Order: sequence, then structure tokens, then C-alpha cells
Amino acid sequence: MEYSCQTYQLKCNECGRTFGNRPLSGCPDCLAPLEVHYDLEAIRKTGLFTRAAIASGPFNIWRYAALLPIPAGFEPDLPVGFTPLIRANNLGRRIGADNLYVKNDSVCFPTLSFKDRVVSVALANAQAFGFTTVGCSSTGNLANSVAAQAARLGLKATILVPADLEPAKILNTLVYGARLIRIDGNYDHVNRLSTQIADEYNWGFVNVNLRPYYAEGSKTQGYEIAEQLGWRLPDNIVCPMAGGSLIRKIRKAFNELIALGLVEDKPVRFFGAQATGCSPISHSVREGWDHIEPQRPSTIARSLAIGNPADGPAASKMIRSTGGWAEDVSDVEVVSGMQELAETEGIFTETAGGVTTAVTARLYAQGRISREQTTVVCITGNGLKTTDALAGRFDHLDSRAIRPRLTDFADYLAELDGVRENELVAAD
Amino acid sequence: MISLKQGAPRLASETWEEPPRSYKEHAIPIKIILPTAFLRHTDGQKQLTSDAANLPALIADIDQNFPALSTQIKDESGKLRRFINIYVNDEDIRFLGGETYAFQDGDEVMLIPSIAGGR
Repeated sequence: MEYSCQTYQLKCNECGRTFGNRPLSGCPDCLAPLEVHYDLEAIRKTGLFTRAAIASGPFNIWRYAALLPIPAGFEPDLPVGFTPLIRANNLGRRIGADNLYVKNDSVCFPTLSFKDRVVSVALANAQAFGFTTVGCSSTGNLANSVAAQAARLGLKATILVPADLEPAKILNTLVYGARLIRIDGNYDHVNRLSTQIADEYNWGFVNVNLRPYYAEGSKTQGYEIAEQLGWRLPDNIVCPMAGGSLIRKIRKAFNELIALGLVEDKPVRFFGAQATGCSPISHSVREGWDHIEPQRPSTIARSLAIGNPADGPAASKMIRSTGGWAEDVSDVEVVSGMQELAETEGIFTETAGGVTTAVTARLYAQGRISREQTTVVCITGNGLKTTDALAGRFDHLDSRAIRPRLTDFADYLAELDGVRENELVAAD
Repeated sequence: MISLKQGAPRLASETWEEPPRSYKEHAIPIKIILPTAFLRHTDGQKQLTSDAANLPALIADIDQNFPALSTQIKDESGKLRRFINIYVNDEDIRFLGGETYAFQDGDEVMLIPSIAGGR
């Protein structure tokens, strides 16, 4: 249950102790989370992580494999990631932003969320460690991705979710043949149980004992943003926060690119987005704390509903150190955010994306981000998984059908718009 | 199972004004459940029992009986480490009043290192 590697290994951020490579997420001495640490000098010497080397790689996250914890001999075959970075001029006009981009992981392969990035890296390690059963505690997107990728790799999957999860996310897990267990409790209860299971069973839990490897997959979103901006860094990142991991890993990616000379060094400010019904990290940022106070989640943004985020303290500290900020928005604003992104940019995101969009609008309105700066908004999941959130927003869902006659059509249009169109006359 | 009760400091309670009590006679002692990572400090025991009345008393109990475990769960300043969560019957102790929460008969107290999922 160990392998050795010349370029990376687990390291404790608190006490500095190193552990090689094994399924372990916390330091046995000080209990702090472990992180994958790279020998950047050794990687530089390999010449595998340069703009040219990356450009000749495949159009997916594996083009950055030299800076991912991928065990020797692993042959990646799923084209995960390399999602579109879209210039968001329409949304920008609405919220007063001149250089706004959306990193659109709502179309990530294979399961339509950024979790595909982390799972592919975690499962590569699960195989190297010899696990035949993998699992996770999940608010949905992770469940979907573990189920799909485990199926592809021929691993058994056991997945734990809070009982009140959206039906689409449950269906999207079961379809891959995974064993799904609903837990009577919130995500924090599920996560605690998973920690105990990983302690007792010889399973690879992607976000428990494989967590340091898993979390590294998030860096690919940062690499892609920099490369898609033409190998430069943005001024600001706006990122949703649940466990607090993604936002830190994007920063880690940027710092590695700077250290290896792929981008010019410049300050990037990081802004975190949460739903008010579960906002322990944004609360911590606003109060200037170096800890978080756990909350009992109550929000429709279930994929962000982690009341006791392990990476929360580190995320809070990092955000403030970059001169950034964090905000949280109400469930009403979450739905408006979903609709706003769909109406302006044609991107249908899940509730978490509604959180991020609404927080972005607020940051511009508050003047925390000025309009000419380059800002990237991280959209991490797909709206088709959380359609329940839009229930009651559109009358048309149960509107009456009309007869297939031109006169009925014209009458109906008039009824809808309140005025009679004269387009028919113009077409004569 | 071993009891933490032996050797634990006990406060006299025969005075007219009863002093604050750190230990009480639980009809059913509280049960403490430890993660595998801590078993090296408890001679392999995964469950312990205690008569501690609250969290500070439990920590004092551990100090007394398992000094090595005590060093593991506390930092240099003697405070509980940031990366450890304490649950009482499925509930985070911070939701129950933290250090002020009075353990009830038969409470199940879990010490778990904090590891979260999500993004």
C-alpha cells in the first residue's frame, strides 16, 4: 500500500514531516491535512513541464501530468477536463465588468462537473495502492464522478450521500452500477462516517484516505485558466467554496506556473463564494479569523453545503493574504444567479454556479473588483442536475397547448406578449 | 475497556457550599471512541470510559491516564488541536456548547481528525 516516486510525496504543512506515497490524509503527529509536495527543481530538469511540452500534449488534464501525482505506469485514457474558458461580455455588461471570463466546468467530461478532475487523479492512485473498492462521501457531483470512473476502471464503488440529495444526482450515481447508501444526516454526518469506514475497511475513499491526491486534480483548473488566457494570470478568481480545497489548489497551480517560469509573476486576488445558508468560510474571512465556526447547513446549494470544512481555515487565511474577499448570497439570489448566467451566456449551471455568479455580481457592485480587471469566474457544475431549484420559476412548464393553426398561434403570441404582433403583415 | 476513573482527581463534596465538580457519578459512564491512529497511545484500546462531567474534565482525565494521547491531541499551548473534532452522539460538541456541555449518562464521545470533502 505504498509506492515511491522521485518527484512528489506527501508532506505535512504544519510540522513538515514527509511520508512518501501512501493512502493517508492526516499527519499522525499533529493531525493536520497532508498535501502532495513536488520537487519543482527535479521537474524543471525533466523538461516535461514547459509551454512547448504542454502544447504537444493531449487536449485534456493529462497534458499537465508532469505536475500531477500520477504513479509511474498509469495510462490515462479518459479525456477529462480542458473545458472552455469563455469571454462573458453579456454577463459583464449586466454587472459592470469589462474583462470577465467564465471557466465552464459544467461541461467537464465524463460527468459534467469539476469533480471529474479530482476523481481521475484519485483513482489512478487507488489502483497504484491496490484498492479494489473505492468510495466517497458526496454532495452529489463527486458521487456521479466516482461511480462513472470506477465503472470505467473496473473498480467497485460504494458511495455515501446525505438522504436529502437531489434525485438527479442519485440517479446519476446509480446508473453506473455503484452501491449508493443514503445517510440520515447532512454532509458532515456522512463525512464523519466515511472517515470511520476508511479507518475500518480496506477501501480507497477518494476524499478521505486518498484526499491529498484527489485534491491535486483541482490544480488542472488553474493550469487551464492560465494557458487559455495565453499563459498569463488573471487579476481575480471568483470560486465557489464547500470544503475550501478548490480555491487553494487554483492558487497552488498559479504559484507552480510562476516558479517554473511559464507565466509572469503577478498578484492574483482570490474571492470565495458561499450560500448564506452554509457560509462558515465566508464568515471566517469577514471576521478575519484563522479558524472557522461550524454551521448546520440549510441551503438549496447542496453541493456547497459543508458546515465544517477541513480546508476552511487554510482557505480563509489564503483569501485574505491575497487581498481577496468572500461573500455569501441567499437562496433567492442563487436561483437568480443561475438564470442570469443562462440568459446572458447560454450556460446552465447548478445551484453552486448560481452562488458564484451572484457573488461575482455583488463583488462588482461593492467595488471590490474594478471593471477593467481580468476576472475568471469558476463554474463547477451543471444545471441539469439541480432542476428542482427552478421549480415554479417558469409558468410554461404547465401552460396549455394550442391547436396547430396559425390564427391560434397569433392569438397565443398576443396573449403572451400582451400586444398583437404585426410580423405576419410585414411578411406579406 | 479500561476505566479512566482510577487515579483521576476527585473533588471533595462534603462542604456546605458545593464546589464546581469536574467528575460526577454517571449511572452509565461516558464512552470515548478513538480513531485507529490514536491506538498506539492507548495500548490498543479503541474505546475508553470516563466519569468526566465535561470536556475539560475529560481532557484532564486523558492527561492523567494517557499522557502520550494527550500530547497527540493538544498543541504546544495545551489547547486541543485545530484538526480534531469532537462529537457527542453524532453531534459536533461545538453545537452543544463546547466546553460547557455537561456529559449525560452513557454519552458516546468520538474523537475524529477533521477531513472534509467538497470543493
